[in-house]
Amino acid sequence: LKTQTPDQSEAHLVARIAAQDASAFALLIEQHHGWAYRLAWRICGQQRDAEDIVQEAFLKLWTKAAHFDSSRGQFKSWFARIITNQALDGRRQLKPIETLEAAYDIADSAPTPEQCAQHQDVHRALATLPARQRAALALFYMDGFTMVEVAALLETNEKAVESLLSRGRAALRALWSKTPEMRLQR
Amino acid sequence: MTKNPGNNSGSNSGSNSGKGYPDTNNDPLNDPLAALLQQHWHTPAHAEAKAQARLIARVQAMPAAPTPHLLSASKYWRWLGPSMALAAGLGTWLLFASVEPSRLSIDDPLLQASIGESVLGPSYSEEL
Repeated sequence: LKTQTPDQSEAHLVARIAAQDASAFALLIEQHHGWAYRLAWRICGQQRDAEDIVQEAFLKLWTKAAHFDSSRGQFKSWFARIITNQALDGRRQLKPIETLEAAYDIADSAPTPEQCAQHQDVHRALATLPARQRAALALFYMDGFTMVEVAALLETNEKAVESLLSRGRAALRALWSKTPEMRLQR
Repeated sequence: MTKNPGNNSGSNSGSNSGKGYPDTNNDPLNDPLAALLQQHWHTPAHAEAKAQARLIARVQAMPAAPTPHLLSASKYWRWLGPSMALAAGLGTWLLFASVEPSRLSIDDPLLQASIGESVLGPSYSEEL
């Protein structure tokens, strides 16, 4: 039996999508929608916008799948770049970030009031950051991309990413130090 | 798909050691800020599920795309009309060109007889 690595199978799926195979498209959506939605949401901070971004990105994938070249990198990196570019679109950044809708999913985790307050503080602090800083933090800390990859995704260099991450971390530390829940945890 | 930034296996291995991190004094594994982000920076699960369901519904509602071989053939369709007209013209020309000129000659007695009979009547043909 021939075994395929995830990259090979993704490349194969994308090739099938380029040939307008709807079942391959559905499978790819199932595999990649979760992280793509979370990345879009972390950058733009709006559930509705995140949904739009991901829909547009997948529809773009349907029409432009032939442009993907597996020899140049992984599918996830290629698709993350599409998501990031759309989420950093200047028109979207004019909207304020929704912090209240990011409340805990009570049914899933049953958090304590302190955890809820901490959760809201984290989201409120993240909402104050510029979108590119949030994008760098999300890609690096949440999606596990390396500095080099984050630099490529944000179309900049490693130094600039390092600066974005440092400023983001400093801003979050400063904001969190003002909230009693965070002071307790630190 | 979310990977722990401190445990970047697979594609990220190797390139994420040492200088890969923004602050080498703060390994994300031991960084309370990174841990806090990973604990709290998540969308509610139902939002993701709803978004995915709406995307799938939208994809299913998309009109069926033409198959690739039809798509590639469609660019030739514009030549179909002119080609057929040209073929018809060529066919007609070949048909007439294939008729022997001698058979159209007015000197042919058979032709003259039939012309005389049809135009001038049977009496003329008898004279001939």
